[in-house]
Formats: sequence, structure tokens, C-alpha cells
Amino acid sequence: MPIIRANQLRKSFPTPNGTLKHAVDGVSFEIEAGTIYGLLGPNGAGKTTTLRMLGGLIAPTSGEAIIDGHNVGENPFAVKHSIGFLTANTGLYQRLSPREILQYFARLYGLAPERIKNRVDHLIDWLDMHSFADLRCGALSTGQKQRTSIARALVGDPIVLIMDEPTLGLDVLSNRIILDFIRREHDHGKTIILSTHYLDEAETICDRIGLMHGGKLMAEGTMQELQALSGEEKLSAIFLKLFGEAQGEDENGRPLA
Amino acid sequence: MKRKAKTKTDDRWHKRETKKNSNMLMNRRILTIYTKELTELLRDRRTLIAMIVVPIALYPLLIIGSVHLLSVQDGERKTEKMTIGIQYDPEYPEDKQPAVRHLQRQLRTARNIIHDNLDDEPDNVVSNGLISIERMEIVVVNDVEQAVALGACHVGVVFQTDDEQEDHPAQQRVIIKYDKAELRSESAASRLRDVFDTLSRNLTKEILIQQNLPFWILDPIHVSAENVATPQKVGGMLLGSIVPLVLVLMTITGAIYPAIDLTAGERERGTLETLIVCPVPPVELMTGKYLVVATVAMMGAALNLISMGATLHFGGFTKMISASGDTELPLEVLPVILIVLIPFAMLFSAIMVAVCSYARTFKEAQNYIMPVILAALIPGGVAAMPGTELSGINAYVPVMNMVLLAREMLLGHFELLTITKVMLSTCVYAGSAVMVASHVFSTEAAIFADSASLKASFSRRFMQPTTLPTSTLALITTAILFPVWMFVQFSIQPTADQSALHTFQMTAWLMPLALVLVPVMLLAYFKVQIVSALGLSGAKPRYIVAAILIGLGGWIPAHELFALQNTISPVPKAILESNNTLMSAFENQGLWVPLLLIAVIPAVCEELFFRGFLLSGLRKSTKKWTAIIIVACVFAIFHIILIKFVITAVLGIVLGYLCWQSRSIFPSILAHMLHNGIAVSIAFVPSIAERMGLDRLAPTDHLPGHIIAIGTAMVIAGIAIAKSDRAEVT
Repeated sequence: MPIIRANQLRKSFPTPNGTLKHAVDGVSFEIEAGTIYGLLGPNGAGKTTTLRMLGGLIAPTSGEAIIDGHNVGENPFAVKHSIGFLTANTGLYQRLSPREILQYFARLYGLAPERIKNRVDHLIDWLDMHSFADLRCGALSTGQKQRTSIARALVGDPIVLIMDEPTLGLDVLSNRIILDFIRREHDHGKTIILSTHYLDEAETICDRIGLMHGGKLMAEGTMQELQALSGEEKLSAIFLKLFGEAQGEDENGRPLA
Repeated sequence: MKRKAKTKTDDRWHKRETKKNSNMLMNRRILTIYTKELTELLRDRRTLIAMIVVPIALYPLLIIGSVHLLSVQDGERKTEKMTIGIQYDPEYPEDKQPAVRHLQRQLRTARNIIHDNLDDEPDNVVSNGLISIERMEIVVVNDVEQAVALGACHVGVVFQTDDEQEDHPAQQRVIIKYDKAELRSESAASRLRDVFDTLSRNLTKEILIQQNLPFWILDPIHVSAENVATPQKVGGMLLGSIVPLVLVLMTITGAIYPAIDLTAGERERGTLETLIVCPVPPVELMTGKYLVVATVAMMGAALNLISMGATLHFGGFTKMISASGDTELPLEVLPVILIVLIPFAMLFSAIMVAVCSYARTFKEAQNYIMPVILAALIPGGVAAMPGTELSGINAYVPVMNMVLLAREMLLGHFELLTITKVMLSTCVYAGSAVMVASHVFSTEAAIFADSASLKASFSRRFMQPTTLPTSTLALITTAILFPVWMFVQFSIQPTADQSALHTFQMTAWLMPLALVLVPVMLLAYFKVQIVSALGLSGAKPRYIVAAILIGLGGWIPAHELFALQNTISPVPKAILESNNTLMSAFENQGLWVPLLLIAVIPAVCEELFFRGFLLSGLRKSTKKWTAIIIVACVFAIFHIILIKFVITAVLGIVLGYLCWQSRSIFPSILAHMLHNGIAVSIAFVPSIAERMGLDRLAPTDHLPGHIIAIGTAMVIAGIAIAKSDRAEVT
């Protein structure tokens, strides 16, 4: 039983010259509960827009997405309750402390007042945030901020985690915090969908991978399926091959006969 | 059977509980957002400076500074020693009186005379002449003109010699040379002139006495001006010129920083997306944030008032700004002003939040704010000019009405009617602005500040055809149309040249343009289906029956309500009489003229606009009774005459109910037309009034009991018919 189902998702924006641009153009995929799914593609491929539609942040122009039995377009708030959304540029309130931020979001997620303290304490424990839980966020290091953001995404105890470019522009240490976290959440049975353009990273942690380009899903499957499909070994080679095919070129950029 | 009924009650109870619960949750979330935003904002040093330090420092600086500067300058000019230059003429014979000694003697004489006259006739003396003379210094110069021009002396005096005055041997001629470009030279010249005038008058007086003539012929008409203004008014006048403007502008500026910080600032820091991820409807986010901005603006206004009051009260400046020295700032009006400022602060907070929502960065938001501030400064500046009064259209111009009202209140005026006008119109604007802001904030364009989708929300190409206008469109149109319509109404009021009939004719021409054509064009532009938006589809016969009953009987309870209101708070006679003058416009006209101009055209136009356009706009987003009451109040405000506010609003509620139930505009047009038509017929056809025993009935008299009973019964029956819609499934 897939926990996430996207069916012909499309999002169109008007362009200044009056035409419509399809940022996401008929994307369909299914994600089984408890797996890690990676959306890969270059900048502008439509990954962020797809994730935003899944998260109920923007409404699809057409098509639908179902998460945990709720239609995102019809009932975005039910969906938002069951997901945690983390982006690379997820900002934190500089003038609040991590503890205050967690309390704030716990309230917004509608946690009962008596549960809030437990949940927040638990997250601070779990992500080892004691040393900085009561400092203002403006004074934290990147790694500490990263941990705060993760705790923030987990505060509503989501069953699905959506992560948009979670490792974009991070140093090695912060990167490791994120990857460790993804693995741990995966071990706890959570479903994770993430987007990235770091191919190696995707190769190591994702159960299934969707390759996006120009708003379309070019190919999708496990690593083995993708290798079989393209006949290439490395994910970067697979991507270039498929990308070339889509463009009508071979892997060296020469047009196909 | 019994059990079934119980389940039903349980169900309904359960539904109500869930609704209550979700309402509670919503309120709790808004409160959470509100508390957090306020905490965060107050932790920001910049907010604290803008909100607390600036107002506390501003008023002492502004008031002490300007009052001090004025008094110092004024005082200096009056008490300053002045230098008079006298031409040194070497050819002037020594034995004849030298110029210097001549002037000295003249001045001494003048002083003596002034001294002598001080006791018995102080009014005739230039009051500061005495000081002037004692503070004059005489110097001898070679060239008077040059000396004055170079500033060696303030004024120069040239006495003309005897030879030059042969034709008037007895007249002394004195020429005062001064530099008009120099303020001090000019004031010295005027002081010296006063001295010579006094001297001259006294010489004349001496001559008159010698000739045995009464010396009042010097002044056949004696003029003196006396200030009748109360000291409070004098102080208030001065308070009235800058303080209200500063107060109003400070309330506006108080909203700027939080509005930017909570919208564009939040987006710039990347926290807005985080917030949108939460299961909180954007409207709640917006409400929480908006309330914070409004709170900060109110706190700012309160601090401004306190600071202003304290500066004036404890600084002793009330004495300085008043003429007589015992003015007290009317401290008790300050809380009232604060209450009046609440809708105003809400209005500007909403505008600021809506404007800033589209900005991606702090800087961009500041650029968007500038035009808003400029737009507020213009009416504010006009209001601060002396002579602008809180009357007519001015009471409805945003910012201007608030500045003028604050001034009136500082002057000690408490006209409840004016306050109501200003408050109500500000509430209309504030309500529209809040709706717009909430609409703006819930669009994706505002959340991601995506210029392409922003464009899409205004470009017709991307609009989807709909059946009902949005509340934003309806409210913005109303908010813009309201002052325009007020202006039109005031400009066509009967004058000496224009008869009252002309007013009615113009209204009949302009009403279809403003109230029908404008909404129809807007609906067409926004691809809203006009038939459904204005409720032009037919109504069930039942509603027509209801409309006829309400229309025929409605004037009776309306009349009684007015009579009742009159006993509670009597309507000024002048207003009733001016109403009669208006009605006299239709003398010598057939009955169809008032019927057309008062009953038919207004009924059609007003219904199409209020119950058609505006109520349709609110149908989707607002609860039934809220929508009906809002529309009824706006309908009543549009009628200018505030004494009829209650009645018009009640009528509006009934018409709105009729329209809401029938989903058609025709029943309410019919009821409105009949209601106005009967009132016109009774007023203009004496035979109808006589037959009903209503001839010579004043609008404040009560109707006979049986008529009241019939009329009320008709209206209640009409409402009951409109209400019974159980058989219908909608």
C-alpha cells in the first residue's frame, strides 16, 4: 500500500510574455511506506515545485496527490498534520531560542498543552540539543541550527518527511548530521521523500529514485532497475544517458542518428 | 420515534461541539501566532526604538523646541535694542538744532507724552512704545542709506530741512529708511513709526485743545479688537495645528516596521515557508500577524498620546501656548482620542500588511510603503492647514477626517455625530482593507513572492470565470465608491443657483452610473457571470408575495421606529425642516416625478449594488447574518443622513434577508420600491393621507394603533413567508 501517490501532477505559471510555463508537467509516482525516495534532477527540473505540491504549500494546476489517504488539494491541513517538511533554506527565528521555536510549532500542530513539554524535551534529548536549547537562534552555529530545524520538522511526529535539498550548501559535518538523521528516521519506519542534485548521496541512501528533467519524470525505480534500464553503472552516467535520450542525443552529447 | 428524535438532538449537539472545538482550535492557533510574533517583535531593538524611544523623545523635542524657538524669537524682536542712524550734515548750521539733538528731543517729548497719557488713556498708546523709546540708541552716520544697507544701524532717519517744506511750513517731514529684506530692520522701522505716530497724534491733540475742539475728532471711529476665544481654544488652536497631524502620522508609522518585519522580513529570513508548512490556514497566520501589527500601532499611538500629554502638562507648556496663561490641556479627551484611533490603526495596519506581503525583501517593502505614506500625507497635510473644517466630505476622507477629529477633540469639541461619521467611515475602510489583506496573504503569489503568479492574479487572461464576485472585489469597490459617492452628493446639494429638484435629477442620473455601471464593468472584467452575481434570475412567487407584504407594510414600523428614536434622542428641528424644503422641490410636478426619482431609480440601483453586488461578494466567505448586517450598515452609511441610520440599517437587514433567502434581486427591488413609493405617495398626494387619517402628520408623530398593528403584521408575515424554506433543498 503506497503511502504517497502522485497522479499526473501539473503546476503551471504564467510567464511575462503571456504564455504558461509548466514547472511540473504530468508527474506520477507512488511511494511505499517506510522507504526513502529521492527526486533527482538539475536546477529548474521541478523538484521543489513537486515537493511543495505534495506538502500542500501550493495547489496543483491539475492532477492530484494523496498522502496517507488525504487528498492534498482538497484537504491540505490534514496532510500537513501528517508530514514534516524540511528545506535547505528553512529559516529559524533569530530572536527565539530553539526551545521556544519547538514550543511554538508544537502549538501550531495542535498538540495538547500537556504533551508539548514532553515532546519538546524528548526532541532536545534525542538530538542532543541541551547545550544550546535556550540560546537565541541568531547565536547558533550552522550545525546547531541544522539540528534545530530537524527537531522543528519532527515536532508534529509526522509519518512522512519531505526534505527539499536538505544538504544543499552544507559542510561535511552538517551534511553528516543530516544523513545520519535520515537513516535513523528510516530505521524508525518513517517514509522520506527528498530532492537533491548530489547524485552520489542519493545513490547511497535512497531505496527508489525518480529522475526529473524539465518538469517531467524521465525514469523511476530502484538503483538496479535504473541500471538495467540504461545499461550504465553509476547514477551520474545513468542520468546523462537518460537525459541525452530525452533530448535525442547520445551520452557524449552527439545527436542520435 | 422518541429515540430517533434524541439521536437527532445528539447529532446536532455533536455537530455544534465539533464546530465549537474547531473554533476554539482556530482561536488558540491565532493566539499562539499572536503571542509568538509579539514576543519576537518586542525582542527586537529596532521595534523598541521605533515604538518607545521615538515618541518619548519626539514630543518634548517638537513641542518644547518649537514653542521655545517661537517665544525666543518673538521676545528678542520686541526687547532688542535698536540703533537709529542720523545723517551728519557738516553744512547744517550749528546754531540751528542739530539733527541728533532734534531727534533726541523729539523722542524725549514722545516718551513724556506717553508717560503722561499712560494713566488715563492706555488704549490710545502703543503699548510697547515705552519700551521702544528706552531701547533706542542714536548714532551719527555719513550716509544713512548706506549705513542701513550695510547693517551699521537698523534704521536711518532723515529730517527734511525747512527750505524744502515751503508749501507746508508747519509740517515736519521725517523719512525712515529701512531694509525690507532684514526682519530686524523692518520691525525697528515699524516701532519707530509707532513712536512718531504717537508723537504726531499728541501734537494734534494739543492743537485741538488749544482751539477748544474735542479731541475725539482725531478718531471719529475708534477701533480696537478683542479676543473672545476661551484660553482653552487658543491653546487648542495651537495644539490643533501640528499635534493631531503628528499623532496620526505617528500611528501610521508605528505600523510600518512590524508590518515589514512580519511579512517581507519573515520571507527574507526564510521563515515564512517554514510557517506555511504547518497545518495552519494562511488566513489564521495573517490574522495573528495583522493583530500584532495593529497592536503595535495602537501601543505606539497610546505612547504618543501619553508622551504628548505629559510634555504639555508637566513641561508647563500649556501656559506658553495659551494667550492668557491658564490653559490646561484637556487631558480627559486623550483616552477618547485613543479609542477613535483604534479603527484608524486597524485600517493602516491592514494596508501596510497587504502592501508588504508582496515584497520579497525588507528594502522592497520599504519601497512599497513610500507611496502609501505619501498618499496619507496629502490629506493629512490639507487637514492640518488652518481653515480646513470637519464637515461635508472632509468627514469621510481617510486620514484627513482623523486629523481633523483629533484637532476638534483637542479644541474641546465632543460632537457625537461627527465622531460617529468618522468612526463609521473609517470602519468601512478598515473592514475592506482587512479583507483585502487576508485575500492577499492567502494567495500563493504572496507566500512565495513570485512575480509571475502575482501578475496572474491581476491579468484577465488567467482568470477563471466564476458565478460570484470575490469579497475583495466587492469590498474594495465599495471602499472606493463610498468617498466618491459622498463627494458627488455634497457637490450636487441644492444651492442658491441650483434647486432641490436639480439635486434629485442629478442623483437619478448619477446613481445608475456609480452603483450599477461600475460594478457591472468590474464583473465583466473579472469574468464574473453578471446574472448570478447580481441575482438577476427570477424568484419563486412566494418571495414576490413576501416582498409585496414587506414593501406595503414596511413604512409603518419604519415610521414608528423613527418616532421612537425621536423620543429617545430628539432630532433637531432644522434637519426636519431642511427635509421639508427638499420635498418642496416637487411642487408643480406630477406625482410620477417624485415616484421615479425617489422610489423607482434608487430602489433599482441601490438594490443592484448593495443586495446584488456587495451581498453576492460576501455570500461565499461570510456567514449569513454577518453578511446581511455588514451590507445593511454600509447601505445606511451611504445615505449620509445619520439621523436615519438606524431605520435605514433595519430596512437594509430586511431587504438583505429577502435577497439572501430568495437568491434573487427582484423581491428586494420590489419591496424597496413599494416602501419608497408609499412614503412618496403619502407625502405628495393629500387625498391618500386624508383617507388614512394621516394628514398633517409630522414625521415624529405616532401613528394610530390599528395602522401600526396592520403594518407590523404585514412585515412579520412577509418575513415568515421568506423564512419558510424547509421544503427546499439548496
